[in-house]
Amino acid sequence: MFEPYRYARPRDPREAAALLASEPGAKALAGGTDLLVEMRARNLRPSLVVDLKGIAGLRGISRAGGRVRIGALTTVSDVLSSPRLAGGLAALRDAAAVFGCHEIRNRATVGGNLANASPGAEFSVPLMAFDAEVVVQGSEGPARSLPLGSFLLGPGRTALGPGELVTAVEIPGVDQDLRSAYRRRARTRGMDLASVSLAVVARRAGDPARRQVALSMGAVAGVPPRPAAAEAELSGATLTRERVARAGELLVAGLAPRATSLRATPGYKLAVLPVLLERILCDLGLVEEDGS
Amino acid sequence: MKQPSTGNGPVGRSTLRVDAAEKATGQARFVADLSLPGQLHAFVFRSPHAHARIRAIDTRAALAVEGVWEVVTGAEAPFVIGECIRDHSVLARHKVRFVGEPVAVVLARDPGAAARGAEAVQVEYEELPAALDVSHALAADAPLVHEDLGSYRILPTFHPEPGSNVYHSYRAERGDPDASIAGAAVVHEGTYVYPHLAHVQLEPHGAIAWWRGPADLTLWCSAQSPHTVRKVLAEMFELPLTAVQVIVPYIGGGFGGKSDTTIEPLVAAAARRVIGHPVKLVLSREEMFFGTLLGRGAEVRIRSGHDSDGRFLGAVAELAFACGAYGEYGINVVEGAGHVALGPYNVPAFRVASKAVYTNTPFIGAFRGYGHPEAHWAMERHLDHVAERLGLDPTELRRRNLLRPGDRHVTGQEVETSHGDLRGCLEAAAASLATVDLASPDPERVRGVALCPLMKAPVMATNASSSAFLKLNGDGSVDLVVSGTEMGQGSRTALAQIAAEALEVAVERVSTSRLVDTAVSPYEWQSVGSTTTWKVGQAIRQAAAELIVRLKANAGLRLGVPPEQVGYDGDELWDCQSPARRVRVAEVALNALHPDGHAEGGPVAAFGVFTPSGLTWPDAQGRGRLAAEWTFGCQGAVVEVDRGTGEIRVLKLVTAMDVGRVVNPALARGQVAGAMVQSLGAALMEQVVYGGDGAIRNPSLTDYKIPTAEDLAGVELEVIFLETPFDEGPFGARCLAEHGAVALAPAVANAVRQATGCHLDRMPLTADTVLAALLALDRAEQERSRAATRQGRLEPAGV
Repeated sequence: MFEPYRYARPRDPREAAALLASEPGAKALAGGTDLLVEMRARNLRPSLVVDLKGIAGLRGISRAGGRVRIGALTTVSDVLSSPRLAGGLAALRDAAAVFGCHEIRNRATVGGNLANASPGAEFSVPLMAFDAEVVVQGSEGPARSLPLGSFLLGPGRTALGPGELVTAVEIPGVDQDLRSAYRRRARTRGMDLASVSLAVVARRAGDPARRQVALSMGAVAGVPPRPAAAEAELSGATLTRERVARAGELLVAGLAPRATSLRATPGYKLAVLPVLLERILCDLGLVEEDGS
Repeated sequence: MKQPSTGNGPVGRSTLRVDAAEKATGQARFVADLSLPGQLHAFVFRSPHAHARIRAIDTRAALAVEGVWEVVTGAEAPFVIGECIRDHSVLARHKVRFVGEPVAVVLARDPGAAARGAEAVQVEYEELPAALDVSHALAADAPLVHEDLGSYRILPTFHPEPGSNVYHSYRAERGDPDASIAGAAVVHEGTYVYPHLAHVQLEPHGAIAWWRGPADLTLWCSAQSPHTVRKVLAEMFELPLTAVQVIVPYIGGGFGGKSDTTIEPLVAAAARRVIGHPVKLVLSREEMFFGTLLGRGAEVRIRSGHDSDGRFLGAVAELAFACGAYGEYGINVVEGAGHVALGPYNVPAFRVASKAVYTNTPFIGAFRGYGHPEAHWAMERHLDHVAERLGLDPTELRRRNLLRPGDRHVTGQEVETSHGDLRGCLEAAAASLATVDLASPDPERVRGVALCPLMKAPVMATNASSSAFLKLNGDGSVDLVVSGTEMGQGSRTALAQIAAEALEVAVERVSTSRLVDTAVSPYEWQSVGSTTTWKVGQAIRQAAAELIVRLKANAGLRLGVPPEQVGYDGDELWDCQSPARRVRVAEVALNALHPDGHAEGGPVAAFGVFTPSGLTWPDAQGRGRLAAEWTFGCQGAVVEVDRGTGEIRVLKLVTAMDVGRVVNPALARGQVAGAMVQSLGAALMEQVVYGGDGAIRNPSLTDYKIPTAEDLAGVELEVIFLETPFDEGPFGARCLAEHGAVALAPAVANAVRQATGCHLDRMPLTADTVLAALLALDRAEQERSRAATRQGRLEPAGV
């Protein structure tokens, strides 16, 4: 049962930002797959819904040099079908492939997924490992850019000001030697939210001595954490089974997932993450088999 | 009745379901689609507490909300219902007993105003300690959900225990099980848990109640059993049955969750305060979890003793159901579970107690299987432990204990050959499972297989009568009017096939009524327990025989011969003495019109009835003719378990069932497959989760997971039918539908045990629980090997 609300469909990001700043009850609408659910449940009762879908130029994936830019209104289905996101950026397609269901993938947007700031958000996890930067626009002045790690503040909380919206997310350092993958566990093979997830990004993947491995985990903390010790264990060295096992222990050391989750117990999350890590590294061809 | 069936007629064919086109094109109408002029919308204000005294209700602010017409509380509508036990206030009075219990109904001109009005209702509660689960509810110091249990009106076969939360129990015993178990080679005791489930029907529960005057109610609703709704409402309002007209269009899934009454008494009670205005209520998906009824919720303890060959010597089974705050609907579940508590096995000495326990949770009712899945979960898991203890192949253990003709099971009823081929079902399922390779190509994934035999009876009133009305039209077509509701199971199609077979006509000539209207549709007890094809089918056969008699009478008048001398083949009637003298059915369907214009006879119509024969209530030992029909079968599963993540992948599921006679192979397979998939959900992912406050934590599909098409991808699903004819079923058919839900979950769990060694006695088998069990088993093995090493140091080698 929706409460009555007013609706606006601005044409450019600044106008949208001004509308969002114009009243405390203003809410941005992109794909609506989170907002409408909350409105139906009467948890959110916006006075003004600012539909961003009329803004030109916010949908699409582009590349300039080593930087890939994903417009905020790019849908999950767009991510899934984009040739630009093959190869080293495969983790994003892995995430898109398990995101919601067909209907949701056709509506939900990358910007909305980040701005909703769920701890298990399918895109936040790989984008954290890619050191992605979020581009934010206010009603005045130029856009500003901030690391995703600074953008996400906690469950449902971001660094967005009252009159600001996400216009894009950018991934730096995309080259031929980038490898990535994202895996999650969910309760069903059909539509479900992640019980726990892991993204692995390897830069200079082909050269063990110079390789940098970045990791990010979903649904284990308010913001997807980057486990520095595990990353260090996996970087700059040949990856033996033993080293991967040590990294798996470091990966979950100090993690304390919420005990009240309906999707998985803390014990499950902590037991499965090292398994996911080993399987992803094997699939990426980064683990040296014994005797080879 | 004889069973004339040529094998070439409509019965036995996969006739396309008659409602396929209108459902596929969105033309089928459900209650939520209906609207009436002057209609008001209802919103239910519900209890936030699991157990509390109501101190005061203030509706003034709610009435002041724009658009709100009326607010109805228990004070204005003090109605109490319950056929077996009268314990249920339609709107809470004095106390609330679960989170979600209706306290007030707000009526407004649009749904939004009704919801805003409900937010303005003020209730002062005094919270009470709550009994949230069955063990707590059975404890000596448990809070009493109903202090007045001793004073409730009950049926004579009811056994409440006032001063406790046990409001009914079914008990049966034979011999001295304790002595038998004491002398056994192997004794095992275990506890097996089946959580509360939600039915998750596609269509939400809906009702529109319209009082045209104080004694004139018409109600459209999504109820499986329109005549039960009519009876309950007529008694509740102290009106004759003719004052209550219940109309049921298509139902979008029932699974027992729309049987008896759900929201109808509430909507009718609220609407009575606004006579002249139809009142509509359609539940949200969330409300379907706490605003109707749930299913299952059993804790079963079994202790059994076996000889060294594995044969049962004795068993004691104690079943306790968390029935929720009101007792009515859980009763048949508790009874049904008791009847099959020992599974399809011959147990010489036993004691069974199945208890219905009040808890401060939403009440339970029928759910695809009426207690049978709970009982089979427990006994089949239990036998898996026993097989392991004996070092015996689990299937062989079952073979040695299967019921045979002449054996008597819990109810004291004797197994007859015509009940079906239990052993044949087991062997068919075993052969089907043998085709899957149990060697996994991936060392991290291990495979296992298991099968579980089953027995199933409909659990019903002893006087569960059916009837059918057939009327022949002027073109020779036939209208079939029944009160068996079409809830997706395909009854309109299957019943038309039975009528067509009995009338010796093509199925296209018969049209089954699209909706049930108690003002015109003949009596039907309830559409529950997979009984429609059987019971209504039998009534149809009687009606068809009568229709042919009346048709012959018209033809006799037309041909100038006595009716006994008239022949009939579905298309034509003739003078048997002079077969060239014939008329078409259409010519004499309405009367016998003579060449000179004068007419005799009249429109041909017929009525048929059926009452299952000889059912009785249980005696003091729990014995009696408690079921008029038994169906035997066997279900099995092959699974693959990921040892790293605990994920279960199902490779194959099989059901072999002796159904007597398949009326429509495609629909029959659909029913069984649907039940198998629903049970797979129960086995792997479904459960209602309560918070410490008694509120359901997952009342939506976000966190109450059910299998979808993606979960079934790659699963081989085989359904095998055996056909040992049932003498008292239409053309040999016995009950079939929910049977596919009876023993699938334990088959999955037992296959997981075979794959991993992990016994999981509590459903569902989430990856979380499987992985925890695998890790625990690994730790235990490490402990054992460390202990063995220590032992080895102490003792000289080679001993």
